Amino acid sequence: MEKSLFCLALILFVNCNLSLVSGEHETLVLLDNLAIKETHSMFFKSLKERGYALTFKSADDSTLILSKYGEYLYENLIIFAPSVEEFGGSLSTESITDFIDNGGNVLVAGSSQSQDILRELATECGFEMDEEGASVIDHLNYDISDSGKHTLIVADAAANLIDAPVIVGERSGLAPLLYQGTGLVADADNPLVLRLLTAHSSAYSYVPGRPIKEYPHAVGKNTLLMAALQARNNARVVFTGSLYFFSDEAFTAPVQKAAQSAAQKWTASGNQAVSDALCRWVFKESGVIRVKSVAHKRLNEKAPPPAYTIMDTVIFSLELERKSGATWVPHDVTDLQLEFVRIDPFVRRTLTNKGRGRYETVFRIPDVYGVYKLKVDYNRVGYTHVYSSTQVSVRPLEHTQYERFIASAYPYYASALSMMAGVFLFSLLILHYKEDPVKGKVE
Amino acid sequence: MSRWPVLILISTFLISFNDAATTSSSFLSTADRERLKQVFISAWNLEDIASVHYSILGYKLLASPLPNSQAVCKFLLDSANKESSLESYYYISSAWKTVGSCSGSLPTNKFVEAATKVLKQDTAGIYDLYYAVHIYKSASQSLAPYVTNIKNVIQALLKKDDAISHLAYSFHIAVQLGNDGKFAFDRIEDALVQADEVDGRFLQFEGGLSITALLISGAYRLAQAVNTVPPISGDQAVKFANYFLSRRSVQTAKGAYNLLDVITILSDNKYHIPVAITLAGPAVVSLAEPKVSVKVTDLLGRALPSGPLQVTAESATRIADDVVVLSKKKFEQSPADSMVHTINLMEVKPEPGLYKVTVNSAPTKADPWLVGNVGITLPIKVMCSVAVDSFEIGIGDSDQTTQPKFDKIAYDNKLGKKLEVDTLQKLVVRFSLKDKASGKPMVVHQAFVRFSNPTTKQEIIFIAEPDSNKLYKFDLDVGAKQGDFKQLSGVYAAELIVGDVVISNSFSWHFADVNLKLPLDASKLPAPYSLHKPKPVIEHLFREPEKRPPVFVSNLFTGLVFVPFSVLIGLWVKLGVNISNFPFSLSALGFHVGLGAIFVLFGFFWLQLNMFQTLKYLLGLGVVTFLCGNKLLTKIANNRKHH
Repeated sequence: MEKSLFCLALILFVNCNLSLVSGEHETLVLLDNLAIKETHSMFFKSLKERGYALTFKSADDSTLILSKYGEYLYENLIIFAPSVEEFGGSLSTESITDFIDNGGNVLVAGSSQSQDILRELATECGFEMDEEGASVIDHLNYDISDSGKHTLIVADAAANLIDAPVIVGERSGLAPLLYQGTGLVADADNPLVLRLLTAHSSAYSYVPGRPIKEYPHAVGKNTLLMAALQARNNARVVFTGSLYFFSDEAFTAPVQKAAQSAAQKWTASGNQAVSDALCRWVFKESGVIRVKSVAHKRLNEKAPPPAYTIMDTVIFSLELERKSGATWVPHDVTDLQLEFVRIDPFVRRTLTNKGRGRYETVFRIPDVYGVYKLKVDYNRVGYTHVYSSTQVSVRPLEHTQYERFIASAYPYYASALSMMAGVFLFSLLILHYKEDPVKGKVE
Repeated sequence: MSRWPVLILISTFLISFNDAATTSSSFLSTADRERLKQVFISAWNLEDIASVHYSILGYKLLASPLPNSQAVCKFLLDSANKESSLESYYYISSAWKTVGSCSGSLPTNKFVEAATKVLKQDTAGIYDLYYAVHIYKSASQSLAPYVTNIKNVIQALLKKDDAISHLAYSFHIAVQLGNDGKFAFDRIEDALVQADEVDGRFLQFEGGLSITALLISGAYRLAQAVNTVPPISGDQAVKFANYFLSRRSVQTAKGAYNLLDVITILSDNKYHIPVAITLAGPAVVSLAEPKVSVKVTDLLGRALPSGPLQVTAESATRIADDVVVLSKKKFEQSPADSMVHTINLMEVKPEPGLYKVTVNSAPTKADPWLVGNVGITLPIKVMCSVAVDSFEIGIGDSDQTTQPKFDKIAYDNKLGKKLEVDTLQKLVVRFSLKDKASGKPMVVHQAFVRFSNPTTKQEIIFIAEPDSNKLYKFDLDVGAKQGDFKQLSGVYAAELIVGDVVISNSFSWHFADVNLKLPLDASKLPAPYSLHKPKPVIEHLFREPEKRPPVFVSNLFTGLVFVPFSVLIGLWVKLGVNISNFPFSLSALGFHVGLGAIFVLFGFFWLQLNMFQTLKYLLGLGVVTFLCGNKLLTKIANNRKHH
């Protein structure tokens, strides 16, 4: 009974449309040529070790197909094919954006030779990739092993990497990153785009060797080396201009800025650590949270009422959990907020973490009646968007619920009571009065 | 008519392109060997017989001693008793033989028996044959009785399917047959036509490193076994070598062994020795470091077998405008290392820029088997350091009515005062960049002026452009560009960033602080909206309860309200009210009790009942009270009449 009264509208986007795909982490890898499979063997090996079923295809393979009979064959798509001019088979920019719209995750790496098709795809995702031939150049922060064009640039973990351990791993102690490729820019006002890795202020994206005649596509910190998009359906897309970033060579190469002394040399770049963390994130191994349960009731009661009355004190509790491998574990944060909304939020407060992923708050319902929602809308960098909304109705006070004994109304109560007592007594007296003849005569 | 020159141009381009392609610009360095060793190390936890086998062979090629040969021997013995496939027999016997120093004895008879069975078959698969032949070899058994059969089986197999892997394995089998392997030698050409060329630099077979390495090592071994020149051209050998060297980062034991094996073969055979000409130091020359060193080696980084070499710089060309600055200049052999040759490029005083130097190396006594030793292009940079000259900054009106007054700033200093600029003015910066050594003005790739707002962390970058006299000029019309600054006022740090690939001292110089007066004030702007931040907390503001009089006043008036009632009662008591007319009849009692009950009901209505309940009770009480009252009043009226 009580459960049926519990009117709960819980919308979770966490496990969305792709539940059709089996737990194998089916991943399609599109390559320029199969040599990339070998030059990036460490990257693919770490994916395989984590249980991904990788299907390697040449990007212009005429049998490419993403979905069959309306179901997607893959959960994830890796495009390591900068120089492909046209995708083969049924693949196109539209079909890839459809894939993203249906919750698929995409990792795209370009290079300075990126073709228009990748540029088109980048635009669909909210990034702009520089023209063919352009590279990110940094004359102040290039690696000592650079071939002479200052395009093998060094990005520092602390200065250039986004502060989001869930996406790129811990920044502290991380070796600098090696990058070689083209630059991206993103609209600063696009709230869904995350600027994962930016270049130094002295960097710019231009065709090396060509004199700068027009304003470069990307300049300074605006130059994105790596950018991510978490769409509103939680599909994740990572774009980078450097295929080299993921190569075995970059993973194992030592890093030393040309301007620095050999004492500041790192024996291996931080690329592998970042790529590892990044893959976990983009393929939704990390940063996936969901609501486990939602409950609300009047304070000190056991079950939720059919409707609340204004100014009731309500206790709202919620459990949050995070995906960890194949299981879900409690997720503890300090900034989860509850909103009590009737068109506009009337109350918004931070839920108290009670430990083990449980959150709670006690609040008083406003003195305005209507249909409200208990809404938790949690959107943080790197985590999936959690949205839970529970509808409750709030009604006005019944007349018995008003204040009964108001001190300033005592004169009115008293007059009413004395009136009634008076009427009662007068009715007795008037009806049954017997004149006393003796007394009357005396007077 | 006019088509010919174009054609000639194209063909010369192709030729030069090919020349550039057929050289190796790297070799297997010590660091690479160390990295390959790391790949093998993972096999020493002795789990997988195949990787143990490849690691043992790999260690032998790296000439490093096994770290734990006793444990390896024991593992091989254990596996020999446990395993039962021909493949593992092959791994065990080959690894055993390579270790060499194992005590104990392998169940060789078991192996040979299994191998013999395969060798006698006429439908054996190519892999089984390969294993069987090598087991025989490891056991030092003669293959002579089976040679014809092996030949027939392989030929039949190849007729059916001449896949690259079949060919590669058949070459290796044929090597073991000695001169009888000639039948397979003819197939080398068939195999080579299947190679794919990548970028004009690499040759590889579909299937990747292992199979390409196996095929090439097989082809060269076979050529040596039958003592005939293999049908591989020098170009092809170099392109294969380039491919192998590009795959130095291989991560599997099998791939690493195959890579080492094929590179060893390519640096140690009678037919083709690809030459690697590599820069022995940085690819950079400047006045301070005028010399370029190259190292001429085989693919393993050893001296070439052909003896002393003559290394020449055929030409040095500036890439920007194809000007040849040097030709036919000889390198000098370094006294410390006979493989290293050096040349002083700064003797011809080249201008700073990117150059390509074409290098030939020829042995003093001719050796036709050296390949890839001619036309190696090495990119060389001629560097210089840059100096900022006559840097001036000034503020003028944007409508050009007043000429700006310039302040000079020397490099690495900062303007002492803060410049104040508003939207009707413009900031003008002029400077020139000079080569420190020659004093000539120069143009760099990057000459940016960066403004950064220390509070909002916003940075705005403009480009300074040189005029025809190589004088850099940068005008910032503040009014027109205020959108770039998001119209935010503030003290901006102005920096000059100068960078180029040919200057050794690229710099970023904070030359002044500029106070821009723009319409908006950063400190007064609302915080930017972010999807990912907690929102501000909202507490509902409840309606204020109306102000009430003090309780004392209420109580006083409550008391006053009771005064008339008490006066009434008091007077009645004093007068001695007489209600002895009260008839003790049912109707009288009923009426008064009913009336009283109605009043009590109203009291309950006030305290707890709702209207419906009250009406229900009131109906009952009301009917009774009405009937009783009616009867009582009738009675009283009748009594009065009688009086």
